[in-house]
Amino acid sequence: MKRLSLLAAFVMAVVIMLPGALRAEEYVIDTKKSHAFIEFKISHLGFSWILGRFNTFEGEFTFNEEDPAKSKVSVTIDTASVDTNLAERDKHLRSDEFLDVKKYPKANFKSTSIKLTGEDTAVIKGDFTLRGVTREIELNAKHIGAGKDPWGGFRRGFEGVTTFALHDYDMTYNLGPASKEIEIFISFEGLKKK
Amino acid sequence: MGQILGENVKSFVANALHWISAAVFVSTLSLGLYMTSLEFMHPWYNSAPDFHKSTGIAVFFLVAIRSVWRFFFIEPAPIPGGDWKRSVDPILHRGFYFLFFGITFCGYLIPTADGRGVEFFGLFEVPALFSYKEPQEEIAGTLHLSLVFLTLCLALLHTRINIRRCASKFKSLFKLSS
Repeated sequence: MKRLSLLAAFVMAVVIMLPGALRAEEYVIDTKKSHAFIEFKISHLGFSWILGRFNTFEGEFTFNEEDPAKSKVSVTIDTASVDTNLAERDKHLRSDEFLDVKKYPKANFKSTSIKLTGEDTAVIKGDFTLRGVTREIELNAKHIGAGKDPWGGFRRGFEGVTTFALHDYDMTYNLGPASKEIEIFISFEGLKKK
Repeated sequence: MGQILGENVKSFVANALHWISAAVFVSTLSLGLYMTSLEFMHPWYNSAPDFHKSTGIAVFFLVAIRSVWRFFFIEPAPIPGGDWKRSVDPILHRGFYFLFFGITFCGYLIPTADGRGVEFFGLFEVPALFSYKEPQEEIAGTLHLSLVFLTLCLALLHTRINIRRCASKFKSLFKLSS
């Protein structure tokens, strides 16, 4: 009898928790078909912007419809894939004066907390590791949209912006006083795991 | 065609090409090492690499002309004596042509990896024929520098082999002119 009631309690617990577990939908960031971009922008002498991006990265996130603050996101970037549309500059950026990709081939971001700030906006705090240095950064994120795609999948998309000083990640190469900070813009679509 | 030009002209041109390519090569190499040490804010940060690319293209064409000249008209005189120098130096000579072509070609592959051409002193542009993007510029860059160091070592050996002969030639030249 005692065993039976334990079993009943267990089944009930599973039944109660299951929808919650289901609600935390799991997504893989769609880098395969490139519906995801990590771009950056840094001032050139204070006159204009240099835009660049990382072509190779991967990531995933969970989305909790009930309580979006419980969602999680993580992204890993292949630092050698930096692309500013100038081979010589990219070569310089890969060197030890900037990304030092031989020593630090990966950079990654892992969210630690999410604070909702509006209907579809949030501040995502997380640990960003670059060049072997891990620091907390804040992403101003926005939920753009979600729904069924025409090919049988379910997609959900976000964008986010953050700014940090190059110096924070031990990149001390002198690019002039106007170019001390870099802005990162990330936009991605997640494909719901089946 | 060989008969049209006198022996003196042939060897004069061959000699001139030898020394001009050597001088342009050494200057290009020195500039290359210097420019990579320049800070972003240095006034020559952009112009030094442009100049390096132009003189690098010059090295390529000088060596091309020199090898054509050698093929059709005149081979370098063999070294007197019968020791190892006699057999090593001709191999070195041929090796240098391949090395120079290799170095300039790898150098050319770096900035052209993204599809941009390289300019020759603003006069004309050598178009980008091979643009495989990353990691082309990385591999080409490593090869470019490694081949330079290999060439420098072989050039030292080449100098060691020929310095005595060269010095006596210069001496006799001065004797003739005085």
